[in-house]
Amino acid sequence: MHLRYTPEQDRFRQEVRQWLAAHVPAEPLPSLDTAEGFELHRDWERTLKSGDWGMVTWPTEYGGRGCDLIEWLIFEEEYYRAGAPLRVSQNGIFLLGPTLMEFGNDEQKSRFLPPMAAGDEIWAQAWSEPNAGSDMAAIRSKATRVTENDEEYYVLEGQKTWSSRAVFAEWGFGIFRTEPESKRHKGLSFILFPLDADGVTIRPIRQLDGDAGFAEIFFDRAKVPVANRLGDEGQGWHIAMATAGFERGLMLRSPARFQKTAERLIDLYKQNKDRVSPATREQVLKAYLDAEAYCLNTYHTASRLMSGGKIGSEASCNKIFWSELDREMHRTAMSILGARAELTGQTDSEADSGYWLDGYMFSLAGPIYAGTNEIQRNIIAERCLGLPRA
Amino acid sequence: MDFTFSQDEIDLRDGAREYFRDRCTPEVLRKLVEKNSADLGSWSEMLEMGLVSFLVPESAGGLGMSNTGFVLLAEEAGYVASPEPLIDVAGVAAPVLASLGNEAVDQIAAGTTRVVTAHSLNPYVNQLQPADKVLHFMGDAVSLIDASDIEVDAVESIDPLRRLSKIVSAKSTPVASGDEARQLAAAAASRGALFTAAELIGLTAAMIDMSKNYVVERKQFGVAIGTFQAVKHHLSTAFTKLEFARPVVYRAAATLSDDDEHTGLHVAHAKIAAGDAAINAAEAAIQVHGGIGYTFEADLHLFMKRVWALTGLWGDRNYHMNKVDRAVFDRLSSLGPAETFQSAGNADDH
Repeated sequence: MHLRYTPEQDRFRQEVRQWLAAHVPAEPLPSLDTAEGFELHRDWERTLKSGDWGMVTWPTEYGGRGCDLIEWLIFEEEYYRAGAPLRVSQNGIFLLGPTLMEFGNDEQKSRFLPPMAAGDEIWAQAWSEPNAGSDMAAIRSKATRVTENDEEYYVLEGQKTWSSRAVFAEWGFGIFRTEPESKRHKGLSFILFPLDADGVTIRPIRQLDGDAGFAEIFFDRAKVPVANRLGDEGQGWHIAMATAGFERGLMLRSPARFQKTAERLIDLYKQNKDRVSPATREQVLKAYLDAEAYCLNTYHTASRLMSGGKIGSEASCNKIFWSELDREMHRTAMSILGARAELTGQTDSEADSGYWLDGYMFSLAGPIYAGTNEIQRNIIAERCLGLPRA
Repeated sequence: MDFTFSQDEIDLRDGAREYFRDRCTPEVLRKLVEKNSADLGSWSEMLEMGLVSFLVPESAGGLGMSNTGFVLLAEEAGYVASPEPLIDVAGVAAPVLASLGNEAVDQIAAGTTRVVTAHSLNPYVNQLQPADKVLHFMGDAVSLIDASDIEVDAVESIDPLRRLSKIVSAKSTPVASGDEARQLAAAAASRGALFTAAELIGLTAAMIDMSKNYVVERKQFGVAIGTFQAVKHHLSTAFTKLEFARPVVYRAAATLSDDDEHTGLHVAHAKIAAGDAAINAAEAAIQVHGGIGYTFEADLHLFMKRVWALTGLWGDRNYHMNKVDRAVFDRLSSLGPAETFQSAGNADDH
């Protein structure tokens, strides 16, 4: 066990730090869930690509740098340290990307990965349906195989919902029932579809913050080539679970994000310490310690994976830990802000209340998306502890 | 940057695990309690396996192993709730005596004497036997005292496998004084807190495992109570806290020998995280056990009571939280992303 960076890792950090210092926009961008903000965030993705920073862990042939997980964590630390914009491409680069790497064929990888890393194609996910939330195996949207002019297609019918980024993105990925009468986890396939295809209708949904961060997607006999299926027909559930594993495991939420929040919370506390209670001080310290613990756990997992280990159901612990930490930190900030907590930040420049309010609202989504924390606790109990299913 | 244990450390851990789980079973502990004894009588076996001289340099007849390796041993000792003072003797006293070049370290390694500790952070000495010596850290002096030169009053712990003595008076001859003594006392405190944290990690894992076994067996409403989400979620939360406390303890072990401005903070974090995980697991465990958990009939109480004792030893939660407070608000100039680990450049400073 050796918990120091190597000289090479230090040099890599300096390279990232210098590049970001020269390129990160001086002013924060508007919300990526607005039309203007979305395109500005896409521009930022293109800027990242110009420096080959789109997705550092990918092989160079797909627009990456072939970095290992420790280098990825270093990149993320510098990214949050520099206050760089949120990744509008996160559904693609963090979720679908690793899934394509594992289950995609060569054509699919070279077709989809480079524009994903470049921000030219932004991806939305399409898992949930109105009657398939936590019970995702209850999905009913179907894909029927047809042949027209010697070409094979899937005809998509049904409805998806809570589809993040779908309002402005180019592509979607989701699972559909390809075997007609199939039940539950069987007979599902993982299919990629253009969001502007004929028969695809997007209805934006206004989220808690007022922006259309997600949408419903309606499929009315939308046709996509069979080549858009990832993996084998009927393998959809298995692939979706791998994607969910990436989501809950290392990739989606790197520790730097929460360490940055903890750092800001400490500053907020210091500015207000004469008027808040001692209990708040302990909450702030706990936030710092837990963000550190999340970082340590992530490096621990990364080391294990780099020496040949696999990420398993314990990924569910990660998701619980970061989402509850995030909510805790933002709730503490809201309580420190007191009567200013309700301000949107649009009209009050003295407090960074808008920042904490937005963050608090988003933190409430954390224990819900990527599989609710109740579902994660079931997974831990059943797969890590071996308790019986109900 | 590498967070993995060496093969040596893993092999020694595996050997210790097999030994502890075979030798120190709940049945054995129950028999001790029934006999009103806290002496497992396994010291010579641990000595023979090298566990006692694990941290003693090879030049002094020890294994010369690392703090990270000893953390794994402490976890295993915690997992079986061993009553032996292994952490005290092998984790704290032996390395401190070795750093002083004191000959008592040879006696520990040879098994001719045991040295337990008395420290200003801990009001009582545990498991003091007539043939032992006490390494006594008080104020500006460190002394090594024969048990026969100490007058003690026995005090009773709720943990039936701890045997506490309050020192009334002692004939002491200091082995170190002034700044040196203060540094040794601080080093002992760091070691004690770190390895106690590791012991708490082991206890936490054990309480989760025994709860898991119980809820699979126990039936209500015609089914195993482990099928109920409310029961599952108690244990999943306990397991998550355990998973996130472990690397904190491992980091503190890996950076202990750096002995720099971060060491105290890392150890404090380890003790807090492990203590919080243990208390949470203990409360979850008694809750899912129901009435039987509130009795001497289930094994749980032996583990839970040990947790109550250990969370207060070598600095309680308040003590360590105050350390974190001073680091965060007075000392650390930067504490956001990229500040968790040291760069290679800083390594040259040591």
